[in-house]
Amino acid sequence: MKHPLASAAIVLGLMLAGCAGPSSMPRVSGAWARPAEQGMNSAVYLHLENGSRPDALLDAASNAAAQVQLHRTEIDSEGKARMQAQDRIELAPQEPLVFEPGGYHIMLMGLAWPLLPGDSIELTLRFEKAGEIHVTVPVQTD
Amino acid sequence: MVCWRMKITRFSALLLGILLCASCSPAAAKLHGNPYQDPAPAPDFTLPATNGSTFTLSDQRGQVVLLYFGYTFCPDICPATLGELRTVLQDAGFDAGRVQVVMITVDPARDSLPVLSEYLAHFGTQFLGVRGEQPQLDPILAAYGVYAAVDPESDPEHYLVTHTARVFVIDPAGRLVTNYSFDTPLEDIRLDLETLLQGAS
Repeated sequence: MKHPLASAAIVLGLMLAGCAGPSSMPRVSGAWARPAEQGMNSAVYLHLENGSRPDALLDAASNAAAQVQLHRTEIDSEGKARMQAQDRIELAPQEPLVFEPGGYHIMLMGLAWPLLPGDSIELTLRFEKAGEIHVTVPVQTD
Repeated sequence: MVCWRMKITRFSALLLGILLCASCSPAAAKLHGNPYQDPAPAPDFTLPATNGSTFTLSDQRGQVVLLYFGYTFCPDICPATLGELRTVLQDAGFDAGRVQVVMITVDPARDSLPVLSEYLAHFGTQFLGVRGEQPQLDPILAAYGVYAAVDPESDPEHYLVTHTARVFVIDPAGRLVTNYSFDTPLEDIRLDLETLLQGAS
C-alpha cells in the first residue's frame, strides 16, 4: 500500500467511481400520501436526494388535487404550528431533503377523489435544472 | 457533638423528603411531556359530539382523556398527531378501552359534525370529535391556553388555521396533568398512559 502507483490507482479508482455514481438528476424514494376524503386536504412525504449540481425544487403537481403546494410546518416554542408555503427549496449538490410529518410536505389541497390506502397517485416534481420528475405515490397510513 | 448534629440534619432531610413526596401524587411526578406542577381539574366543557351524544368532559372520570385541538382540513400536523395516538393505542400494554381521544375542531365553519366524523373514522372508534360554534369555542381555547387563528397569508378558498398542536392529558380523576408537544416520543406517552391507568384501578 505504500507503493506510490498503488495509491495513485486507488485515487483514480475513487475518482472514476465518483463520476459514475451520483447522477446529475435528483433521486426520490420512500414516497407516500396520507389517506383522506374527497374535497379534503392530504400531504405527500418523501426522501429527496439531489444530484451532483446545485438545484432547486420549484413546485409540484398532481391531478389528484385542485392545488398542490410545497409546504413546511413550523412549530414554535409555545407549540404553535404554522404551515408556510415554500416558493422554492434550494438543494445543494447531493443534499438530502426529507419530507416528513411536522416538517416539509407536499400539500394536496381539495382532493379530486378520496385517497384510500392501497391506491396510488401520480405526482410531478419540477426542479429548476433537472426539470420534471414523475413519481407514483402509494396511499398509506403512517 | 459534630456527629449528633449531622444525625439531626440527616433526620431533617429525611423528614423533608417524606413530606415533599406526600404532597405530590406519585403519578404526577413520573409523567412526561410538560407536566403541570399542581394539577387542577381540567377546564370543563359540554359540546355536541360525532357519536350523536353530548360530550361533557367532567363526565369522563375513570378514563384518560387525550384532548386535541385541530381541524380536518389540516393536512400535516393534525393527522400526524392523531396517527401517532392511534399507534400508541394499538400497541397498548394498558387497557386502551379506558382512553378516550377527543378532537375539538378549531374550524367550526368548515368542520360540521359529519365532516369530523368521516375524518376521525380513519383513526378508530376511540376518536371522538366535538364541535362548538365560535362563541362556545373561544372560552375553551382560552382556558387551555390554545391559540387558533386563520392564517391571513393562506389561500381564502383553502385557508389554513395556525393552531397550538399539543395533546392535553386529563387523568381518571379529571385533572389536567400534562400536555405533549408534537415531538414527544411515543414511548413516553405509552408509559404515561400505563402510569395513569394503574393509579386509577
